[in-house]
Amino acid sequence: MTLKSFLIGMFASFGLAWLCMIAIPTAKMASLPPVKMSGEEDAEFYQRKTTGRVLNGAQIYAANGCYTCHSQLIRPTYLGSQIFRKDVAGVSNADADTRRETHYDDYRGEEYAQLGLTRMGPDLSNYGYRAEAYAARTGMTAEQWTVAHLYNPRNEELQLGEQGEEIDMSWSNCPSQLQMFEDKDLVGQGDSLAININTTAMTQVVPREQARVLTDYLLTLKRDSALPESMNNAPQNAGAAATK
Amino acid sequence: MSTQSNAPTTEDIELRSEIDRSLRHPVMFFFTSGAAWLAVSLILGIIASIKTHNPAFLGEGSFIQYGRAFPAHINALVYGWGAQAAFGVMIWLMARLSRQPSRNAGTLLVAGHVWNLAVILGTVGILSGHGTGKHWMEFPTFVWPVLLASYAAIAIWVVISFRVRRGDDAAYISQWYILAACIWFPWIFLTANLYVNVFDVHPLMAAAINGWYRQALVLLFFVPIGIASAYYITAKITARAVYNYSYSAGGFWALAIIAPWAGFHAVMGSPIPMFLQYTGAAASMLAAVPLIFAGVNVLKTTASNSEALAHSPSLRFTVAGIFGMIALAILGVILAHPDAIRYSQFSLAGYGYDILALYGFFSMCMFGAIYFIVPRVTRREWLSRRLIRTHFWFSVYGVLLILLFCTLLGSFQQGAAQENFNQPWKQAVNSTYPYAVGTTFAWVAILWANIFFFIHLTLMWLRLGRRSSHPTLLNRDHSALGPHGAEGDIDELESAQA
Repeated sequence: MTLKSFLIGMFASFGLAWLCMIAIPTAKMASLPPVKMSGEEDAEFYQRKTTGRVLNGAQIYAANGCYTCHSQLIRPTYLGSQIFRKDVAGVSNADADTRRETHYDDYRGEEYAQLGLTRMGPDLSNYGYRAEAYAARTGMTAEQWTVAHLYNPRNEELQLGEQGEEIDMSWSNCPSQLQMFEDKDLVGQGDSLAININTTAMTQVVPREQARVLTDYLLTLKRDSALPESMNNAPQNAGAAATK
Repeated sequence: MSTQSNAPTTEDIELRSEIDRSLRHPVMFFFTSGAAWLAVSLILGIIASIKTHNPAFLGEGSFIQYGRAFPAHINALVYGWGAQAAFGVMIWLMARLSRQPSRNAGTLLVAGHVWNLAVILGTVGILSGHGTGKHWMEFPTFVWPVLLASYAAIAIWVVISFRVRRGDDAAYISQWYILAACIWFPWIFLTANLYVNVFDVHPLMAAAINGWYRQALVLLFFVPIGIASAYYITAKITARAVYNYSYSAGGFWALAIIAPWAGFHAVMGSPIPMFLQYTGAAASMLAAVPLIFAGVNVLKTTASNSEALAHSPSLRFTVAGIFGMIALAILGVILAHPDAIRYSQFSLAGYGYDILALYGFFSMCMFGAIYFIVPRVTRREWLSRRLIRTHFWFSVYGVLLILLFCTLLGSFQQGAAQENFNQPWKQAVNSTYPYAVGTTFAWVAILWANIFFFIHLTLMWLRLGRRSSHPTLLNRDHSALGPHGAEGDIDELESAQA
């Protein structure tokens, strides 16, 4: 083997794979054509709508390593059954069934799709709905519940008001994000997102900007929007989703 | 391979010691700072692992919370220890095989310091909450150009010493592997960092390329360096030619052709083009072929030389590393199979694969090379057989615990619990518990092993090794002269022999 034949072999073997697996697919994925919601001539184009601080919320999510335990991917049924797990892949109740697998447009606005490394924690693709459900049970708002959960994921007293039910979270192994909170003097009626523990007469524990942005991002995670007919793997759900 | 059955001439001995002397400082710098990073990474790994089953361990401080300690641990392992051990072995092996002393020890040292500084900044960046959240690329984005520049300043001398090699034109298989790794690393590293960090690509493709990067870094950087070192060490210590040259060349080209396609199965099930996911899975499975080719070839070279295997620390570590590589090949086939991905994709399995690649295979091969190289460049022998034995056995037990208990048993148990969608999520968390504890135990064993290694290596670096012409072997004989034969100054003994 001479150096020349070695180099030619190296560049050919790596270059071919590089073109076929990296360069060309990435270029094609960068300019996906718009898709119409249905075959009808005047149908709208599919467009995913998100609100909230997606970009910098996702950066805080990444910097604190949430992706090491939480995934954001609902796999097709031939690769996993998480789509059937309650409130993970969308909402499923008597009125509607919006459960679906992840779509390529679900990460719009983010730089990097945090598919996740492990599922030591539950999938967060539709965390927004779960937060609302938890909040309803504990008598909090979804925002308050999420902030309290970031402060202490093993909080057994997640409850506001008298009619709220207590949820046992003591089994969680999620790290708490204490650096995102600070003690502040109590002013007026106080902060609506203040944590309901460690509060004295004069001070309260309130979320910093980071926790607020991260919470905002987490609550936008509702990846169950109705898909175009041509991409919908559960057409019987199309009607229910559309009426939602 | 360099397997002169006839005794080396005085000229050979002089040339070799000149090469060793010229590279003493850079090689020892890469090995000792690499070992220090290994210790840092192991401590972070233990903290992270304990936090998976006992999240309040050491308080709830932000610096060492799991989401920061774990990425810092993996990045310190890859760039602090893995890459630096590889650099030390690359420059020494290439100089020896090309029979050219280095004239650029100063540049290598400066580049090595810059590399270390970048890894420090990166690790502190992750721990202080500036990580990028892209696995194996978590260092803040300003770090990667610095790493690439100092890599270029190191690797260029490896390529140059190959170009100006002395002697016959036919190069050894180890040289081809090292040269290939020199070319693959910047290509992979630059591709991944440009596409993921710089270019505006689809977020899913960025994640997919990150998966490809991790697999490519293992198969096209750590694997070739490990194999190069294993071929050299086994041929050298058993004083035999590599078992079959066509196998080794075939294994090399099979790796070059298959490995660049592997890795996209890390994002299987995500909405990226199907052919990427399945080609990635198929290539990851096929990559077992070149690994097993090279592994069998190395093992055949050592076969019927059980005495050397029992007594030489270098050979023992290298052969253990080669068994690790064959296990890696088989584990790769299991984990990349689409039926297994259902269970293993989001379980401890991915971490187990990384640890088997980085520690069970690569680090063991590097330890073998370090036990061979350090006495030659410092002209001192290793101090203690017992320290080497402790290092070996605790490493082996740690890796076996991670591989058999946590990765094979644990990840499928965990995956099955996750798939059981009628049960509450709590049950999936609880089923992971024993395996998380097992991982902690394994890391403690490996840390225990490497504390002794680090102390031993530091003493050697301070040139406090034994001044003897007898290498430290792992035999248990006792003799009146002490376990290692006659003591004395190596320079005097050598000149007396000459």
